[in-house]
Amino acid sequence: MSDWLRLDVTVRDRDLVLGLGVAQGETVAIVGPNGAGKSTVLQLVAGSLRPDSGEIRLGGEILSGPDGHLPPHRRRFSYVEQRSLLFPHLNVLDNVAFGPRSRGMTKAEARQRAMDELRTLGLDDLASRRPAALSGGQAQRAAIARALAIDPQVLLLDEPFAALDVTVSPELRRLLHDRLIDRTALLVTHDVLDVVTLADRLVAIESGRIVADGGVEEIFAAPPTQFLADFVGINLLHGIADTPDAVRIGDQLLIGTGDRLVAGRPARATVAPNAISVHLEPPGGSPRNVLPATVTGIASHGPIAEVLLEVGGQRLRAELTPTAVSELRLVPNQTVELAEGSSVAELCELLRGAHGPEFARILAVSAVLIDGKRMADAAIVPVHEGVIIDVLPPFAGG
Amino acid sequence: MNRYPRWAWLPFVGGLALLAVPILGMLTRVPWGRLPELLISPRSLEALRLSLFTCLISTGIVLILGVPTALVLARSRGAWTTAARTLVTVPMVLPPVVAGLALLVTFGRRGLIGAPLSQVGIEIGFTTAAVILAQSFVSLPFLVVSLEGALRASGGEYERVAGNLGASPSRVFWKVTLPIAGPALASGTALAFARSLGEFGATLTFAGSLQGTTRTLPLEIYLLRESDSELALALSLVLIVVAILIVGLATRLRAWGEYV
Amino acid sequence: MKRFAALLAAALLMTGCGGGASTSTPEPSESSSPVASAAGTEDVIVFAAASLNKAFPEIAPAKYSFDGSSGLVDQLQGGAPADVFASADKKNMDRAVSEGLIEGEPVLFATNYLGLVTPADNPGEITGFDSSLDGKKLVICAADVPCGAATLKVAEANGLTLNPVSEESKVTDVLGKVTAGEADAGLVYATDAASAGDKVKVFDIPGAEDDPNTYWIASVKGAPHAEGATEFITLVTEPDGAATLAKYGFGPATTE
Repeated sequence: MSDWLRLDVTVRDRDLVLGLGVAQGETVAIVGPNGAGKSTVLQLVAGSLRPDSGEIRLGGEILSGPDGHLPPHRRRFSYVEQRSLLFPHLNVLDNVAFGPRSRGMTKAEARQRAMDELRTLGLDDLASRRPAALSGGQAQRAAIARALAIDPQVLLLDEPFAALDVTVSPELRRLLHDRLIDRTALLVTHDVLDVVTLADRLVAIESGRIVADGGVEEIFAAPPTQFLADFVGINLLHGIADTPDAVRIGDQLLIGTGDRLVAGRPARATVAPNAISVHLEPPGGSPRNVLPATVTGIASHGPIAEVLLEVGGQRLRAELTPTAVSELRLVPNQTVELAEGSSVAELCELLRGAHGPEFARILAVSAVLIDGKRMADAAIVPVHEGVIIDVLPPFAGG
Repeated sequence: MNRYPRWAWLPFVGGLALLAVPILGMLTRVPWGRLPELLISPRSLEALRLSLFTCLISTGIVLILGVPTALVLARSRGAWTTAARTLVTVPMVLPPVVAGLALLVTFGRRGLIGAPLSQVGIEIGFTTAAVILAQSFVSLPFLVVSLEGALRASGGEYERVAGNLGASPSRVFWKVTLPIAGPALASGTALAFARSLGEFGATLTFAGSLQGTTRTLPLEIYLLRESDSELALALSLVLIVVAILIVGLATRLRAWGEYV
Repeated sequence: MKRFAALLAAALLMTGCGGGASTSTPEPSESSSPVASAAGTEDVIVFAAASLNKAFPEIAPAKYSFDGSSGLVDQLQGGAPADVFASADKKNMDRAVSEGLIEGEPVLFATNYLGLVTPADNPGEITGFDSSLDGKKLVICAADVPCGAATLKVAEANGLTLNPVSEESKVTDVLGKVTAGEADAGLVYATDAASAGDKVKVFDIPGAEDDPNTYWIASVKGAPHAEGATEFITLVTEPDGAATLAKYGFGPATTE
């Protein structure tokens, strides 16, 4: 894909030097520590900030450059921020109609356009409400409707869900996800779920420089910087949606909480590392998800032991207590050092040699986490050469 | 339990008495029986008409000059804005007679601007225009200060959003800035109108006092004190009633603004 | 409940002095001893017409409050403490008498009459109290105040119809507009013209001296410094006092 939106800019007083290209229809998540320059990128694209040098182009047209600067109202980008910033003096309909009206539609056309957008987002019942009479989630939905109503060439999202209650953000994420299909968007976020749910590509900015730029899976699999490693933290499994609430990963089925998946489309599941537990014996109960996995490595980080697993060819990281690990005989007596500096293959070979073939029949049990809340425990069933994990993860079409 | 100490009642009653008793005391002296007859006398009608006419025009001038001034002040940073803000506030705390003197030496027949104007046949002194000028001078700060506060509080975020949605700066001003600042604008306008209506010192010093031309209500009251104190009290009552109406309106508009 | 009653009493007290407090004139602030020394006038509180503000302090030291005669009567009526009242016209003194504010008989102590003043350079090319005033910026006192009433009289006596651009409520405002050069001419008292010195050009008004404004002085009823008040009045009416008054443009204490 060729770059549709292209930034090659420097902003001196914010020490920002970057080159970034975005293809048409692509959603790029921008992550980074506070003050790294993420929002500056959005301001540059929106036109509220002019680069000291360099150019910003869209489809061949120069938006900002040494010879000129197109003011924000002459660009067709819309901005959704943490705060909805709905105009307090206008009702929801007129808020959404404001953009189309400002861009030359008649009042009636603009209202029609706004109503269509509200209907799509399920807000048509609230069209005549004042913003003060909306809940946070409703207001943010209206803000998204208002942003979309101008058919933006690029949608700029600056932590759009950060201020929302965790009970409403998943619904909004799904809604936005549907509306982002085939749209170009830049998404600044601190929330890994935003990236997983919405983004095609991940760009990490640290101290005004791009330090990572690649596919979400790619970066999640091997976070190149400490910030990204901390940011990612969570396991990501990708597969194909099987039913509205299940994802097929290899020949295993993972049932989760993300409803409304479209069967046949690519989907992702997240599993928190501390949600996975591992057992040698078959677990009791009737687990929903049972996945065979292979232990590929063990490492100790103080109070936490990290167990690396592989499920259907994808990597999973489990965090267990050292006690749990030793009970499972995953770690040979006092041989934690073995894990360090050893290759996974060497480690497995060592363990197999030390503990016999049953070591390979490790079972992983995972707990279910939905947006950080523990919902249910799950169990592990012994399978040859692997572990089975059970998760009820949030899904995302991808 | 009350959220304030009990003794706060004492200064409260004292303060209220200090403010209310003189006004109530005045009401006891107002010749209520002759009130209608007094108020429709040509002198009072003329003063009332002149006051309303000049106040409406000066309030209009204050709006035209003051709203953009407040906007620029609210959205600018740096040393010059501090200086400009101080400049705007000064007439508010200036004794009216000083304001009149300042206007006189500027726009008077021998003033800085008045002298050249006089050369080309434009004389401001002793005209209704002088009254309007004096009123605008003293009331402009009230609008600017109250509106600037509101505009500063709204922080320009809505303007930025409107710009991103494609509204030109002028459209943003008319459709977003002004409506959002509406309540503050209305209460600031009410305050400015009230200040214009009460303008006395600067008018007296600068514009003179002639029935129907420059003698507004406060000047008429001041003069009537000498000859017809009943009529003076009756006209004072008119000013008090207008003041109460305006303050009430401003308070209501402010409250409405908070609700929105 | 008791406390409330006390507050109410305090509030009522405030009403009592409200008349004095609402006027713009600063009242003498020092509280003076109730027994004034017979020889001194320093503690005497004198409410005097504004035009006396230079002559009186030269005649005798006292605590002065200068304002329009009518306003002073209002203040006295409102209960403002004063020992002596000096009015710039008979009307206001009569009013004070009829309101029962005066002790004894008022005494005529000076006269004052109107004159025509123009700025020193006489930009309106005024030649006197005549038709040269037509179409010029003339400022006079409003008919409501004594100097305005006097103005109407002299105009009538001279067969002139005045078309002023402003009718001020204080003669000093008339003078101010002339000295500032805003007005081409103004009608003020001889005393005011004298105080402006060479900043104005003075024209006599025919017949003005025949019907002068009369200045009256009297003790105030219930004066805190009654003896000092009598002494003050004596000083004003004595030849020395009259001479000082004359220096400031006042006419002799005769009505004809």
